[in-house]
Amino acid sequence: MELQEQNTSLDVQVQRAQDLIGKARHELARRIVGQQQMVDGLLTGILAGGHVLLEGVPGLAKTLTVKSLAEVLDASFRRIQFTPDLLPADLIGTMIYRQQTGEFVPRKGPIFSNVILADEINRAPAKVQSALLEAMEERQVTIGDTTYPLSEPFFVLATQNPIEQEGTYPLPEAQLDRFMLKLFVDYPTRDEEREILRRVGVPQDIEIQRTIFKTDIRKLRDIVGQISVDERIADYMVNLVTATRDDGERGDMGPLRYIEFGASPRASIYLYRCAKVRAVFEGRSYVMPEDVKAVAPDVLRHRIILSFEADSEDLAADDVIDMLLSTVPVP
Amino acid sequence: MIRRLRGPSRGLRRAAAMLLWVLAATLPVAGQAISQVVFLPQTYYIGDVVEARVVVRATGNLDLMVPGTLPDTDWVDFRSVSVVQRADGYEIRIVFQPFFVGTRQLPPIDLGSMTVSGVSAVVNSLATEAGQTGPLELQPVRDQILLPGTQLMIALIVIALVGVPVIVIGTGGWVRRWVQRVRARYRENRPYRTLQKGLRQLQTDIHELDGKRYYIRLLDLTREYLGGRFSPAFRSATTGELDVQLRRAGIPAEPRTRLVDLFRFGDLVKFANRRVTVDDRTRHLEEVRAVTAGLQKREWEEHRDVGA
Repeated sequence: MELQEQNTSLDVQVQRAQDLIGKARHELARRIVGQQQMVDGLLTGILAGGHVLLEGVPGLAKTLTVKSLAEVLDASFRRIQFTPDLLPADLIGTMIYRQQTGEFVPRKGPIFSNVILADEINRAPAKVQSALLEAMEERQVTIGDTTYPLSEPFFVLATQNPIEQEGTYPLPEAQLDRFMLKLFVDYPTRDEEREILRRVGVPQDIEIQRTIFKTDIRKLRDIVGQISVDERIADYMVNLVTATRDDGERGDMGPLRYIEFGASPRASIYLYRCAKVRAVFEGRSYVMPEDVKAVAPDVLRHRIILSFEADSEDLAADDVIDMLLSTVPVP
Repeated sequence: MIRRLRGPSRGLRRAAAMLLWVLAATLPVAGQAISQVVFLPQTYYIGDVVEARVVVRATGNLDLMVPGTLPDTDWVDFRSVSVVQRADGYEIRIVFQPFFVGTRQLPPIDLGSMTVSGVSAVVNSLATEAGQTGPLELQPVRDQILLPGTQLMIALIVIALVGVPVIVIGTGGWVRRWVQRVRARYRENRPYRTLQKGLRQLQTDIHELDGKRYYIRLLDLTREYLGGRFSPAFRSATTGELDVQLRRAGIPAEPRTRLVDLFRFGDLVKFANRRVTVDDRTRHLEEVRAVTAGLQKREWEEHRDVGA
């Protein structure tokens, strides 16, 4: 009986959370046409406490979406354009000598914001990338001798351009693994593009309201934490992730032959968290296999390294993930 | 085979008997007399085992002893000699095997106080009876006699060895197709049989399993059936994808909706801990039975139409 009441109470909370997220989506939709998958992915990242890597060609409203999201969230937003001459100090800050007092004082960098847009992250050298990624993982930075915690929520959205790879520093797999999700931003449909023209054909400033406050984010995260995940669902997630790893049966005809290196246990953790968020999006207090399947491509696509066989057959990571999803039995 | 041949003529037999009587009557016996000699069988042939019963009438007791060694000749083989006392004398039984044709006196047999001699044996021959004249020639060694039915058996084996391959070659294509059809049908029906077996077990355990475990098994069985019967994609399809998969498999709307509703309900029990009654469980078990039986019947009818 107690469990039933708890569930009822959670159901109400989930319903409220869903309404709140719906409002945020609505506000974003006033400025962003389409790109629902990107918006949902970003919201998933925020509520699951992870960072997101966005990949898409220029002009697909990546920056606008992130900026708008920061406005909806009532969060401080900083955009950092990553360039080859960027230094770690430009990102995290440095010690400045103050002549009046004759002492060094810290000057915090743009990383001390709630929402960071690391634009074209692959254009900065490895030293800067690792400084950012370390901050993402530790959620704190050290300037001089002092360690400063980063503000909560701390959410990094990095973008990278799949074209123009010359002069870039591709993120190593170990650093890619730190992003919870990798979202593909695709071109809008014809109807969406027509709608874009209608809205922003004439330059205008579309106001959007703040709908999710910092306290709401905490509450939403608490609700997400309470979402129940059945053991069989957890097993399903583990099965999905372990299905990407080499188990010595590379000779089989399954999708494993297309994978050189599989996903780490971090993938299972993120799959678990993101599936819970997806359940809240759907207004449920429990995770279903649909939730896992929905978030699996975003969680796994940057965590598997494809084999030569996949390259030769012109298969992308998403194709292989689709194969995995269609071979691993659902609970 | 020898016995089947015609026996000696009646005249010959009578003459032999008369001769025996005459001989028996004239046998000289000291203090005793051979009163009768009977051959069993009365008429015998070369090689037959014959018993001659010599009846001796004696006035007093005779001390008759069976000799340790019997006479040894190349034309008769004595098997045994025995003496039987009778009220009026003795009966001496001589078992022998003649190897001659015609009439000959058996060699005398010394019984101690008397010697049996002058017993003539008339040995017949089938060859002479069959009309063969002149000296008998040795025949070459004959082939081994076959057991009755051996030739028939050999013939059947030959027919089988030759005929079966001919039949197989002649009807091979048809038989192969038939076997393939039977195998395919057996394989196609295997998921349904497995499902039925699982459902029977589930019905037995309906009160022992809690709702969650019950629906896990029920839906797993159904999913396995759909996966085995229609497409492996059912095994990895979520409830949301199930409708699409069922549509792709060509399942009509009514059973499709019933299955999807069942899976939705089962998901709530499995993942949201929804409470269920035994009535719910029974209803859904029957639902699965009815829907799958309908699908099976439909498939069977389609196969029959295609076959026709």
